[in-house]
Amino acid sequence: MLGIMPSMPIFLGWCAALGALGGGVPPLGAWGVGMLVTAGAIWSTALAFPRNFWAVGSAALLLGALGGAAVVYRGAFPERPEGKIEGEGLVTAERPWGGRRAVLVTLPQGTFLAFSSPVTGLREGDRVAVTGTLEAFRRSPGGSFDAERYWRARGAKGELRGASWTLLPPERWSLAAVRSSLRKKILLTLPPLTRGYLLAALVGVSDPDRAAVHRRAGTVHLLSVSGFHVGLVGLFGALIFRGRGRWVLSSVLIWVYVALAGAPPSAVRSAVMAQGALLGWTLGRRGGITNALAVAGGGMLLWNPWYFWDVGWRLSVLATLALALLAESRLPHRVAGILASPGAWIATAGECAAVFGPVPLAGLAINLVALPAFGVLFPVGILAGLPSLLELPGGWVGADFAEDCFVLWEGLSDALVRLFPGSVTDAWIPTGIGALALGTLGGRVLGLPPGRTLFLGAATMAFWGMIKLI
Amino acid sequence: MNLSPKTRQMLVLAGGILCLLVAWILVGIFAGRWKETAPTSMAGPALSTKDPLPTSPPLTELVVYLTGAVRRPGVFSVPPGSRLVAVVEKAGGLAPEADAERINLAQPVADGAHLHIPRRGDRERLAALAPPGGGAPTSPEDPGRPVDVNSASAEELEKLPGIGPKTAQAVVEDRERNGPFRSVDDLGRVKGIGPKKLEALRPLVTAGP
Repeated sequence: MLGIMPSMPIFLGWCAALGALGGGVPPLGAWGVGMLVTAGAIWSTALAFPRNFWAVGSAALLLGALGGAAVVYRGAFPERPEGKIEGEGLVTAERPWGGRRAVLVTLPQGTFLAFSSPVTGLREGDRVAVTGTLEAFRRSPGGSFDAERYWRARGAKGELRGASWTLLPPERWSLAAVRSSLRKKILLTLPPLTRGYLLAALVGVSDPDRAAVHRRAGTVHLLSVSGFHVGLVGLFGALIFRGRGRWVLSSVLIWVYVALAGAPPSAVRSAVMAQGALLGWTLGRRGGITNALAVAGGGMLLWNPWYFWDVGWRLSVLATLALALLAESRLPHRVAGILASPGAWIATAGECAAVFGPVPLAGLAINLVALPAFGVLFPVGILAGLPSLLELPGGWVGADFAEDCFVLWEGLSDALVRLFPGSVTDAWIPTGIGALALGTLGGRVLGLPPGRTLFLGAATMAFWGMIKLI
Repeated sequence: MNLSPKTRQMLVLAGGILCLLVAWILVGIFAGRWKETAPTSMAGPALSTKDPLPTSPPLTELVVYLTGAVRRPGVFSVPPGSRLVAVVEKAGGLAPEADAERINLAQPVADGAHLHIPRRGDRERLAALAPPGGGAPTSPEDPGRPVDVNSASAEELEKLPGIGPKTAQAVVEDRERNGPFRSVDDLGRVKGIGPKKLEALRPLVTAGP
């Protein structure tokens, strides 16, 4: 592993440490678990011992230990500001939250969560003066949802309660204001389906009706900005930009897109990976995809360890890991291509079933056509909807065309759902299968003998199972 | 020490397996032993009953009270699953002074809800955000900020006209026993609040989520 994907043992160690911490293992023990997993991953997959094996191995262990200490410390003892707070800032996100709306407001002291009534709620991009009391995130002991993990993964440090707000003159060019303005344009100028898909793809806002359709089909990941969307944008950049600066311009385009989409963890992870790949191409050094995933994932955990508990980040890492391992597994390209979609489905089904409930089996078949279909539908929808968004005369023609395309897709998707009516309701079996598949595939990529490949699969399953159980 | 490559490989492999095994055992032994001690406001335990509650028949219509910047404010009936836009249409549409950007017309409406459409300029004044079920941000001392009867404390309720300590306590006990008030009208079920007092309270209170 050290030779092919040197960052992976470190990343696995940090994930194991955070998983143990989340299961109530004391911080020092969790750090130790992370170290042992890093060492175990390096040693149990070593096949040859070149002269620098021990030096590189020790460096990886040292890096794993230092980084592990940082992520465990920040995950175990997060900053918890409390007391009265007063300041001016920006509403950087707002979304429905049960009968209320959740608002993230960024002040000089940090980003904080507040809840507003659905009728009087603040809008993203609003500049506000606020006074209130900072408190720890509220927890519901009976429920599985952990508000602190969810909101900390989005950058919030605490909950603002009993707040009074004064609206200040708007900032014209803040990112939040641009997002809010684009969202409003999409809502007001496009027909329902196109509106829902463009909201999801461009500003990362989920339309409940579209989400329901895609949940039935097992394709709800298409509505969350992730590697697929970032890849499309990167491809678009590579097609339109020419000359020596094309990689720089493509990188800028990717980061502008991720920022516009609200920088969800899955999109940031994809953008970091895409950036690494672009840089590699520019320098003429192509890195391994699995290693790039470990670098991007590890970097994000160092930045904010709470990403580990974000379901979007986890699903994105698991799906990408499956795709990366398939791409590097030395299978014929055509076979790897066919297995890509079911592979990602198998890797994520357990996590999906545990968090969102039954996972439709139809997803296995529909994803085979959904990914290429949306590779065309998203660009077509955006281009066809653009005249309407810009309020050009006759723009409705393009918007109607986009709407017809999306209607056609949903009809096809519903027909396929009827063909494959079953769903996976239990989370344990798909989790076990997913872990076994990833471990075994990893063994193949590393060129391990069959016995050790099977051991790696079983070890992955045992650890994953343990972390899920505690 | 000169070890054959095969022996060295076996030893390293055994070391790797041992590390993973020890890590696995560590997790098994210490899981659940550590809880953060930092102050955290905990939501109270969920209400539970020994016997299942009788299920209410499915609603055939939602009754919603709409006020503010609409052409014909009032009480309207809409089919279950309706959104705010349907109620606004029943009220003749938004008034010209309505602040359409401040409301979510796609918001699903609940039976018995009181919804208010703000006017442009309302937001420039101090506005309050409803708290997440805990302490009340509202105060009768601030004009224009209605008291949320579902989150206000007994002391805050006492500041309302005609509400003494006993009635305030009765309001708190009623919402703990019967669940939150779905509308201001539900206050009528509290002992000590008659129709006249309810009408006097109506502009000063709200029934938040």
